[in-house]
Amino acid sequence: MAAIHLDGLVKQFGDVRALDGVDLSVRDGEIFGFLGPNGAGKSTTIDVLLDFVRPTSGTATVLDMDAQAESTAIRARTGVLPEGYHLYDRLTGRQHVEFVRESKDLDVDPVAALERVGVADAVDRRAGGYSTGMKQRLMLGMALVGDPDVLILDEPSSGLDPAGVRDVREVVRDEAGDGTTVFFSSHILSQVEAVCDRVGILRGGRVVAVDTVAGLRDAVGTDATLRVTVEGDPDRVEAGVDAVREVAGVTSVGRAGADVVVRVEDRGKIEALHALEDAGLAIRDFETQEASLEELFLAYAEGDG
Amino acid sequence: MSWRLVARKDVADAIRQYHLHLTGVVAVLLFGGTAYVTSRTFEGIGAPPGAVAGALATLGTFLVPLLAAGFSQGDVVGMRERGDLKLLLGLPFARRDVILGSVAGRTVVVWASVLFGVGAATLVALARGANVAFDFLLFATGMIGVIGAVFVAIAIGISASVSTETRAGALAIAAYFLFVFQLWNAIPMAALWAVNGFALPPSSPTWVDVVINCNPVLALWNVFAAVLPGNPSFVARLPSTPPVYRTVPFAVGVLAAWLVGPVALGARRFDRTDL
Repeated sequence: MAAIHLDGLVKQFGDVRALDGVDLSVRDGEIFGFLGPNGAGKSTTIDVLLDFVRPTSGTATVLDMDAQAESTAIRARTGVLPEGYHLYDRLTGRQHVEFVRESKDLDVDPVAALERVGVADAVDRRAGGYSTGMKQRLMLGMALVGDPDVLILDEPSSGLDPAGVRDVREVVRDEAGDGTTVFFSSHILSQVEAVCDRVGILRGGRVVAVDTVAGLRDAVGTDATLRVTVEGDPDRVEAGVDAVREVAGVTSVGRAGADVVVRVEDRGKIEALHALEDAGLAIRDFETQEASLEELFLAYAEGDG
Repeated sequence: MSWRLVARKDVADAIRQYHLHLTGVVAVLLFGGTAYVTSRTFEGIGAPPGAVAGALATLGTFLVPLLAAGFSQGDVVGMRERGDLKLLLGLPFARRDVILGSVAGRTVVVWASVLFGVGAATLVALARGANVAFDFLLFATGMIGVIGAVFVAIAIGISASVSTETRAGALAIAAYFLFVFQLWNAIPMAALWAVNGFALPPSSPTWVDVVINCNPVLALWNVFAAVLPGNPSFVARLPSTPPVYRTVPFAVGVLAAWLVGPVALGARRFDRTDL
């Protein structure tokens, strides 16, 4: 069963076509990261799932329930962290959790719920006095109340310091470990890479790629950077560089001081090293650097799609 | 039911934000003051039965719609502008629950204020030696509560239909003046003028009077005029057989329509908008 399913989702705001036929399926129990440049339509997609916004055409379902027709039933089983929310300034953290508890008819200890997100020491302080990070943590804590079946989070790390970002990662992993499906949008690529089973890239209101991170890398075929510190006569280095250039999978070769810098696909790395040795150079050290998800993202976001 | 949770929170908010304290104090001062003034005639003897009730009814008609509309117009639209509506609708509340809960919550706050005011007034009147007719007083209080609820409904209907607090506030004040100061009458009169070839006929046809009496405040006056002795209202005295549109059942129908209509329309509009 698809925990979340979007079929041909279109949303037009006057002149602006925010969503232009989004097709997406999130499997039960997976952690799905939703990436995209600013204005791609990530928040709009989440707004449709939460019924804050109604689609122009197409369907969205969560847990096999229509996101528009059965929204209240969906929200009884989901934990939500939307963008652009505002807490109740005059209510304490405890009162916020109690409100969630009553609305979902659950039995939850507010202090325990807040401990999970690291704001337990402010439990009886009014939310109006919380810092940005604390507010975000409280909202996340509220989303987790009652162990929902699905978590829908819009930029869950926004406003958080690195410790907070790490905490979000841990929470997401814990939840998924219990079988909760997690669907979140993010700009923080390292976080998405660290935690997601699959990633979807949205661009111009359309899904341009959906795969595991490794799968996306393979598909785009981005290069790694191989940096080799060599020792030898200048002539041999020249010969070595030329030889490496001939190796299959090598995109470019350059020099940086004593280093030979090679842009090469995975398959060509070892051959490139051999080519340098065969040219009579001694290899003192080498280092590989994987294409970051950022480069990947840019390749998809700015490529020809 | 979820709307009850919203209502409970709404009342709790009114207490936390001291709204209830404020409206309560205003009601106590104004109702109490009115009772003070009307409890004795110029000769210094206690006022006759129904005088105090009549005076409070008059005050209530001007004050309570203002309090009700004033404190209710920002409710839904405020949630929306600030963003705490997203918090609320991230939880399993339907949009309808938000509207109904807000109407119920604000009505409770208005009624509580009215009770504080009338309670204070009663004590003052008794202390001043007025001959308080409790049945009339109770009736007047009940009807003031009704017009309070009507204006909460109108204000929430407005609040649910617009996107900024400024607009909601302006429309709520406009509604107050439209109904309480009977600018409403201009509507059928303008229609008559247009239909009659842009000139007013010598006498107005029945339908104009019917529309005029569809003003909820005027309906309230009609009820008071029929029940309370001494005709405490600014409205023309009722003839012994009043026309249909000035009878109590018609007036009750008008009030019911203004209670349900704005809420239903506002809820429908609210249901359809994107946040």
